[in-house]
Amino acid sequence: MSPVSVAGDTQFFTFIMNRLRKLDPYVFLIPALFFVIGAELLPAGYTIYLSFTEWNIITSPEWTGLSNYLQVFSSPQVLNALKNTVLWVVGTLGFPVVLALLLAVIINSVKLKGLFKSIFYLPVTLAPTVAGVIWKIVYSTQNGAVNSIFQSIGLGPFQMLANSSINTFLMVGVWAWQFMGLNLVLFLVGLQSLPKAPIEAARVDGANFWQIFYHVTLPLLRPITMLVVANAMINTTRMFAIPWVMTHGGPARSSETLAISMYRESFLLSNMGYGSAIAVVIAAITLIFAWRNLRALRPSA
Amino acid sequence: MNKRLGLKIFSTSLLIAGLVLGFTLVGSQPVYSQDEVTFYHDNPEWQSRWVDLGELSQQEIGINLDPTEFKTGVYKSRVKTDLTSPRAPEIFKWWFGYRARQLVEADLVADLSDVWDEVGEYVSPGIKEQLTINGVTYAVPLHSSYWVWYYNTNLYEEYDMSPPETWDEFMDQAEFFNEKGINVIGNTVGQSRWTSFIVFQELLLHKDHEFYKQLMAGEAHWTDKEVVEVMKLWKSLLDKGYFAPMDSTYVQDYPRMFKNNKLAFAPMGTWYSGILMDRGLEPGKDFNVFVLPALSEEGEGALATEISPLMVGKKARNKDKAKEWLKWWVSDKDARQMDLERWHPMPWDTIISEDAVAKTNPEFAKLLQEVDNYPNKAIRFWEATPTEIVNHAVAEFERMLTKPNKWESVLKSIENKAAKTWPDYGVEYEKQNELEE
Repeated sequence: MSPVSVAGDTQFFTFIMNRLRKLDPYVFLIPALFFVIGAELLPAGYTIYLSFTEWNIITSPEWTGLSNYLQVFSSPQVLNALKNTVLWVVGTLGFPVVLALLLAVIINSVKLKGLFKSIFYLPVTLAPTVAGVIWKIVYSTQNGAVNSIFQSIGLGPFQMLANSSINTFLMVGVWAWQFMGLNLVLFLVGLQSLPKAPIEAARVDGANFWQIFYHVTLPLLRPITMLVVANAMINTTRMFAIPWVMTHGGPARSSETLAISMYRESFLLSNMGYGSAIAVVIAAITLIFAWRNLRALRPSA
Repeated sequence: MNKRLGLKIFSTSLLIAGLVLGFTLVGSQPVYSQDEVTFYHDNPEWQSRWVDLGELSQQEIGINLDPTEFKTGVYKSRVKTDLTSPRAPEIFKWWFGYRARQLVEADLVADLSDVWDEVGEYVSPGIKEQLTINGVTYAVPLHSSYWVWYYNTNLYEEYDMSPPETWDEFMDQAEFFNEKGINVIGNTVGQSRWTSFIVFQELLLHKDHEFYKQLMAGEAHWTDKEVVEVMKLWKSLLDKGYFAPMDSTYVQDYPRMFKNNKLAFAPMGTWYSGILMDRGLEPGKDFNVFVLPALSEEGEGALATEISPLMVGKKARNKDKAKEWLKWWVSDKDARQMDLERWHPMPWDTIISEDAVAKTNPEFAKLLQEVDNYPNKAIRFWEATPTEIVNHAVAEFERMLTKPNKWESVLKSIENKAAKTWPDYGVEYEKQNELEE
């Protein structure tokens, strides 16, 4: 071989290798992409396709166009599930966020922070299904704690989870009990990482506790607050575990959330197309919340 | 070649190859034992039953079961999905009537006529017909049950009563227990939704069994006056507070309430005995059964039946072994004996003698003798009418149980669903929106 051609080959080889080196980061992304595409995007795409069909599992899907979506928006059951889901989202934004914030501020100014944090955080360590089972017993008329208290003062027993007027509120209460602790810890982290200077300055200027809280602390906490709110909204839009374990979405489908309706229609009633349409609606709502909240988190000028 | 880059490419390829291999292995068929047949069921409380029966059949015919339990919620979709694949279960528990039709029409279940040819003589008359669609038999019985009212024998003994023989007697006894602060009827929403049809079925069937069958076949309307009368009666029983607390369950709470003499009746299929016994109640001593007395002449001799079938997946690999096992299940004396003693079903075979049954199932002995006095048998609601109507109706009946004053909208809602469903089954059905008074 002539030395010139060998040198030429080596140059070409090096050129290729340099180009390939730029692909390094992409190469390492491949396994993750594999999972995301294979286990998330492809099934999601299939679900979107199914939402335009009618499919009962044992025969092939039949294209029906928009009829599933028309049914979703006109069905009293789904509209009721939507109403319940809205109740869940609103319920989770109110009490567990506001109270968590207030408690965080209080705990932040006392000693034994760690102890209080642990106490409030304990419920978070339960799996939601376990929390649901525990509270189902607590709410039961068969020796449940709540009714025992009522009966000891001569009232009741009252149907709780079987009462469709109040069961959703009771279950939102269980979720709030669980996740207030998580929000509390997040707020505490936020409070402890706040710059001391603005607060000190306000104190020097003579502002009291609540003035400092409202005019200085809250605005500085905005990113954490947005995170907590986003977390709450996204998680409760998909609410399944707690109402499923406690009432199966009943009685008479009164406490169904969108996720339960999706499950029921797909797997219990074998209306896979209709269930897929509900799934798409849930995903759309969640994406809107996520997008809005991500936008709000962008650093402002 | 740059060693670092080469190493990266190599390790990434290895990782990808590993993932691909992993996915392939995960998705592949399970390691298959030629001596086992897969068995799907949705009663976790009976998993030990199939394990033990499988051990017995292993000893006797060299075929074991590989039972998998599922919760009823996921069971239906799982079975349907698997039936269409090479993973189809060899044997699976299902429901007959309309619930089996879908599978039969999609050609997913095996014809078991050859099994019946060999062992049909061991099965009581009348059962094969209930497992046959268009002349082909697709199942063997797992349970053959009757729908009866379980009653608290200790309460009856305490008050020196005997099971009611007329409707008026039944209502008097119900009122008597109610006044004593005892829950009269165990039928609630705490366990699951499907039980909400039971009282409706019992009242309608024992009031007018011909009408019941017509309603199930789409030849009568949910707003007809017979149904309206039943709903008004049901509402009155609810308003009087006869029913146990709505969040109580039939697996945990009713047995406890029976033991504490806090519950008088629980209408259920005769398979319920096994559950009561699991909770420590003794048949004949703590509980017994009676058939609901007819509410009127048109309801005389009526009795709701339920056949729980075992079917074979047509695409299953080991179909022949499955059929062998089913032949053993039906005809083997040890199998029938073990099943009777351990899990206490109502016997459907001709193998075990009546005396042997009476010894283990005293609460069924009398019923078995009397069953021929009920010539107007009908399939229970769950399988008797199209599943779309049933699934909608049980949610509406749940609404009835928790809000009895909504009974009119409950009926209209079911009528609406029926009108949308029957045309798919080739039945002409005009919606009748107004309630007949």
